[in-house]
Amino acid sequence: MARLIVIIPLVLLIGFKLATWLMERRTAALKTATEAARANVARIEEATRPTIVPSEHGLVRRAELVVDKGVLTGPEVDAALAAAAAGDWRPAAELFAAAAGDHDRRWGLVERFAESAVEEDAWLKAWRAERPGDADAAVTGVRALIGVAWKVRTSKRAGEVSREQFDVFHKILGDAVEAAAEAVALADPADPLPFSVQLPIARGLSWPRERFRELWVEITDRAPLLWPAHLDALQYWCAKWRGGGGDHAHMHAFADAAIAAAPPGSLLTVLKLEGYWEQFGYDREYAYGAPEVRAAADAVRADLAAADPADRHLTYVRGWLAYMDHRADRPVEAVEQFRALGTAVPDPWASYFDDPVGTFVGHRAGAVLELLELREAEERARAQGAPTAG
Amino acid sequence: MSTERTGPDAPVRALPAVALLAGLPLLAAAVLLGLAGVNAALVLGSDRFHPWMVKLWLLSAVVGYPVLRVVLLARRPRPAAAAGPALSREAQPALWARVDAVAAAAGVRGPAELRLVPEPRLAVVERTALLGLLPGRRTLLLGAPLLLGLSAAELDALLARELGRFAGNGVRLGPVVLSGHDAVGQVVAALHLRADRHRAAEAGEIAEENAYRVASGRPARAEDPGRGGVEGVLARLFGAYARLYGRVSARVRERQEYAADRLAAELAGRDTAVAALGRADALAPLHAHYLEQYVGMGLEADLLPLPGQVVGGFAHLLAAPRRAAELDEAVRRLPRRTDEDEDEDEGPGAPPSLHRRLAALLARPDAPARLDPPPPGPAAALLADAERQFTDLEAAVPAPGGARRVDWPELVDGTLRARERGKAQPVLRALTGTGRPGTVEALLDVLDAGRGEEIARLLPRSERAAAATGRAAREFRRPLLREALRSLTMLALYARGAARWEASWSGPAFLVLPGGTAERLPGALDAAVADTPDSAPLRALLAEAAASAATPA
Repeated sequence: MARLIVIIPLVLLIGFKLATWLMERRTAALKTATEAARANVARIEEATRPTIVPSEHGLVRRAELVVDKGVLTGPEVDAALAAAAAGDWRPAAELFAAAAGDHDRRWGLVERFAESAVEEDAWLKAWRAERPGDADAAVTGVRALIGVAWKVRTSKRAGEVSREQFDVFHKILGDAVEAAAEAVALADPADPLPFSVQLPIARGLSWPRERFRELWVEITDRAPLLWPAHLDALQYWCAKWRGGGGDHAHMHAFADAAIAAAPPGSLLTVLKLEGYWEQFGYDREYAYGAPEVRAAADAVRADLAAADPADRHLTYVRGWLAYMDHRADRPVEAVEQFRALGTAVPDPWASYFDDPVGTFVGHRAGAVLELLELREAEERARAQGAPTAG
Repeated sequence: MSTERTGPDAPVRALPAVALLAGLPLLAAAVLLGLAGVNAALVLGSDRFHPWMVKLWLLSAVVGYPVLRVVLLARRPRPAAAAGPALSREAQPALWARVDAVAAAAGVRGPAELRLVPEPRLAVVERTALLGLLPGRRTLLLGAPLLLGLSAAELDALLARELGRFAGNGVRLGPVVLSGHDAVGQVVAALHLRADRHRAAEAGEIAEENAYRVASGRPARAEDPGRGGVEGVLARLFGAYARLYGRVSARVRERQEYAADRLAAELAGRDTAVAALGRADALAPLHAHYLEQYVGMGLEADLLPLPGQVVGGFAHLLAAPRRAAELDEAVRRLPRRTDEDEDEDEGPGAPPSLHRRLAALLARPDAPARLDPPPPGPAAALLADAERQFTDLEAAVPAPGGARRVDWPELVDGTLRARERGKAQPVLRALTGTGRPGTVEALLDVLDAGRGEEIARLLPRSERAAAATGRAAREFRRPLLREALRSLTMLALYARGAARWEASWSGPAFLVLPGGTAERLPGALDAAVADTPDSAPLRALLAEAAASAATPA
């Protein structure tokens, strides 16, 4: 009897262990089988995914596409940048001098040369030392400081930025405020750039709305339609920055007011599209098909038709329009814009997607396939419904 | 709880609580005797040895062990107190005279022993037996911080209150209920302590086993260290008993507390009693602050105040006008606190809160003190040879070994200098490691030569700062170098006798620098680490500071 007391639990235990071991082995085999099957399905899907031949639809081939962030380009700019990198600031100064009065182009030059000075600013220091009264050099210096500040901060969410990064970020922006005051003092009183260059500072240092409005008046008094300044200001009014304060109303109010005050062809209508992009991203609710979003896209279309065909921001605006039309399931309009873009892959793909060209090609193909489907459906409807319709 | 039922004068009966107290040992005895009897009867009554007898013994042990354990623990609970040196009657006649006078006036048996303790408290502990049912030797624990912070009259009031808890106050067995409560609390604490130890040991074993399991590639065991074994079960069981006792005895104890307060007011005068209770309460956080901020600060530099000053230094803090004002303010605010503030954290059976007790006292008319007034002045004056007593008390308290004993100004200055030296270690290592002297001038030379990066690279810095390139790297470097330069500047100023930390008993220590230096220093540091460095302002500042220290005005 006593032996049984020991043996029975032992047998039970061994049996239980054996059973669980067997079960585990079986499930493991099943798991590997399902994984293999899934991989197969994925491979077949990949191989049979519908695709398009771009040239059949008036689009350029993938290999020809070039990411275009909307910055000012040109052989003369490249040459001057190369010279600056080699320490010679004179070609840059000449470009600025030649652009006098064209604030939009000057702004483009500031952006390009400041970007270079974020890494290495020996040439800019030399420029400033030799021509201490040069406002263009001063403004470029301010923009470069802001660039350094953002490089330290990175464009991550505030929660992912360390205390040290914020300390340095704020310190540099503080220096930038001082440098901007110097640039204002040096510049022609009618020059908007020493003011518009401060727009990112307002965001970074979370200026209160009153102070921001004061800055905005200084800019619009000098250049009411300065296109890049409007895009920068829109960011300040976004929900994620101080001006928006977690709400989209300020941003839309700003965009609406700017568009209402601008003549056709100003291309400021794109503000509204970017506004919706910011809103949807912030709320994580994507209402691209909403009537007001479609209306905003139609306004951009009209604006594009009225714009100067040589406007260097056309591609940028078309990019947003193509994206919005595609997301709103308007393949006819989207494909039209994709065609007009030519070789350019602009924003939102250029700035907001990890693989700009890949995503762009995917969206483009999607739009074309939708268009083909639409045409087929129309064809069928015509074939069947011709008698009734006719 | 409404005041109608539980006010200071409500009639109460102590008998249920006493019965509950006495019931436990009786029940324990019954259980043990019963078990022994059953076992004896069965064994004696059977003809031979049966295997089931072993089972019966085991069962008896399982039931009997915890009962025995509690009874043994409850027999003579040890009051947990880090007691300092005993103060004999011969050595401390003045103090004993007050204690005896108060005990006589209160009509209770006075303490047999008087001990100085380092905490700000005054308590009479009694080594009772059988959960407080049998009286024992009483020890008065006298907190040195209270001696320093109270007047002699206020000390009388506190003494009267503590001894008054042992007075009958019109409730028969009231004192027994109260000391029973103390004893039950001590048993619960002892059981919890043992259970925690058991859990800690268990957790250690699990951790060890898991380390082994992980090393051999097996999944780790769940890290639940259990609930403390037998002691844990006992602690929970006895805890339930203690809660029951607490509820049953609550009203008796509450009345006893109020009566003790009343006695203090009668013996020492109402306002003196109120002041004594309030100040004793307000002194506790102040004393904690003193230990942490003043005595504790020196520990990082292995410095301790002179012998006797760890305890006695509290008097300096109390003498600072700001602290005295803070203390008065805290005392003044106490009775005015509203009931809502406190009712939340009062569980059932909890003793009445201090502000309620003060309010009850203040509601009574002020009558002249029954005791002869003690000599005016602080209670510490009653303590003969106070400095030696404090020194002995410190010797009885474990202190970190190897600490140097210095006076207060040196403790503060020395600690903060040591802190600065610690902060400067990385930059000193960086300078000497690159073959340079470890001086502020050497770092200024490096900065002037535009080679700050060589030093910054060797300083502890974040991954981001290390990974940055170009101008961003320069900006990350700037605050590092500025802080290093500031540290070295401070060390140089100390070495030249131009900077000194001044202790303050009213607030944080402050840095004393020669005129104008404090205002000029930030700008000079900024200039030295600027993109186009200018070390001249800092060099001039150092030279001036050295000169002004050499020729004191």
